[in-house]
Amino acid sequence: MKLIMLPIRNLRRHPLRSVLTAVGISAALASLLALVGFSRGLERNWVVSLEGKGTHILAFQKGSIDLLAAALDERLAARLAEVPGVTSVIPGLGDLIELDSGEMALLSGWPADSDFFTSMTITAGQRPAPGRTDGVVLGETLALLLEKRPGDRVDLNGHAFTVTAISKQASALDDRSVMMPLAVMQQLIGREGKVSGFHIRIDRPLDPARLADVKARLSAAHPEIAFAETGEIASNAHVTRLIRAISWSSSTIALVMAFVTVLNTLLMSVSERTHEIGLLSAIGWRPGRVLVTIVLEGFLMAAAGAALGVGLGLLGLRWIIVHPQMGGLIQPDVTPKLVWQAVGLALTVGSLAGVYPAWRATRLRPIALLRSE
Amino acid sequence: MTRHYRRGDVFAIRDASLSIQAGEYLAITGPSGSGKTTLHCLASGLEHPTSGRVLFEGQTPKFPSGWTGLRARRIGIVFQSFHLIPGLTAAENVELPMFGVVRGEALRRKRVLSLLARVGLDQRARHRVSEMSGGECQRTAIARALANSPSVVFADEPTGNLDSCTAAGILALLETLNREEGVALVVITHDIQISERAPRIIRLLDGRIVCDEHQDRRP
Repeated sequence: MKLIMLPIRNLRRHPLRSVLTAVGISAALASLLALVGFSRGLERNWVVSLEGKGTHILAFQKGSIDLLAAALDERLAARLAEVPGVTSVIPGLGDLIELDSGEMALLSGWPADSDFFTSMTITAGQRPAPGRTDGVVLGETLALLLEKRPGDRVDLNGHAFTVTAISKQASALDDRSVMMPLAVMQQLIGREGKVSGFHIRIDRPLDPARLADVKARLSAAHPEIAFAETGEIASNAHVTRLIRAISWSSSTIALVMAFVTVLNTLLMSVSERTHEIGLLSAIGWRPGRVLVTIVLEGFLMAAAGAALGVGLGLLGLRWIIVHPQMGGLIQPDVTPKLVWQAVGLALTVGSLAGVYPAWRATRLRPIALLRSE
Repeated sequence: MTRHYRRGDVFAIRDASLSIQAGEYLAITGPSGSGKTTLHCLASGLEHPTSGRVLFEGQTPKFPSGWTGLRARRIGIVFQSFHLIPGLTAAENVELPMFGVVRGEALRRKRVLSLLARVGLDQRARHRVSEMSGGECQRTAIARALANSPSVVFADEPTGNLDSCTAAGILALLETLNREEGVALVVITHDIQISERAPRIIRLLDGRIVCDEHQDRRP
């Protein structure tokens, strides 16, 4: 018999209790994977979206939590373009809307003559003709979801629009969007003259010093506006920080609950096995060996919970992807590294929860075994 | 040595002094509450005397760590209630004391089978505790006590939970081990018939040794 068999046998003696404890751990791990994967996915999608547009610096309303709801004056674009090093400034307006079909979609508006429109990859149809106010471009994913083709009608906020083109976008977020000329969108959502932010390009984007220099100049010239480089915007924005904080705090609470569950299970187990533990000491087992077998019980339950939790977490993410409200809007970002980190956390939680009951067990004196006879 | 318990202000053992020789067979007897189990616990290092000391082969082992090591290698204990681990097989129960002492699973398995054969349970190695009779359980417990070739075995009421026929078989087995393998055997019992099988009897009353007699007969 290998030593590992002893904790396995102990766990099998109360299969329901062991399974329920493992399920508790798996729920914690699944929620960690789903929430953190979701929050990371949001950040990654945002970065991919900005990089796809060639944005080097994003200007947005300082202190705003919901960037889409921010309302900056569109005319600021001209003043931003005057800052040395800036080569172009493209205002952008965004909003999340619910379509008649119940799907969530991102509404994006840019100047009709900006290269966001002129250079986008069109897979079917044609861009809205200049001056046309009822033409929109659908991201490929959204078009597939809505089963729309060029020429079809789509209702947005009670107004009818014609799909003139389908476009393949770099990020899942944009691929799930409705794109239209800025002026049309401003009128549609009642924010005439206002934009959510500005996409700024600079002359030497690959030079980090230049990038920092231009950003500093922009900040000095417009202290009322926040400026962030593409790579840092997703991680520093209030909304992503908030989502990340919620994800990690929820996951931490779940892990603490899992810790308490394992602790409770092992304390019960140790309490029930006072005789056995006393016996092990009576036959010459050193406290360290007793401690290892009990900590192993916690570790094994955590390992089973982790295996189940990874499966549940991935299923949860799958559910998020296919959910009508969220589906495709954000592609969760679950890397093998995140999975291993989550599994490592679960195993650590399981093992640590075993330490106190194990320590208590080693404090039991074998004499109690004999006295009880 | 003396063992005093603060709770209840009880002297479980008072001024007791005895020595056990290698290969000896003795019985510790006395009525319930006379201190038999406490004496056994003190002698096997499960308990620490309030005053006095317990020596093993001329040394005073450190309590509890030194005694734990001795119980792993030099001292075997057989309990009245067997105290086998229910989820394990007979072989696995016998193997328990070998962890950390006998290196290698194959070596342990070989020794376990040999011990089970020694107590007549070689056909029951894979049986779980719940599948064995009381006598078989106690035989398994004896095999476990012998796992690391101890020099002394303490058997605390080894037949207390067995019928008379099975009890006789268990005692005969313990006596054979004492006789053939030279293992010192200390039987703790309140049963006069059992104690009288031993060549040396130590009688306890109220924690004191009232009689330490050697009989000129062997079982």
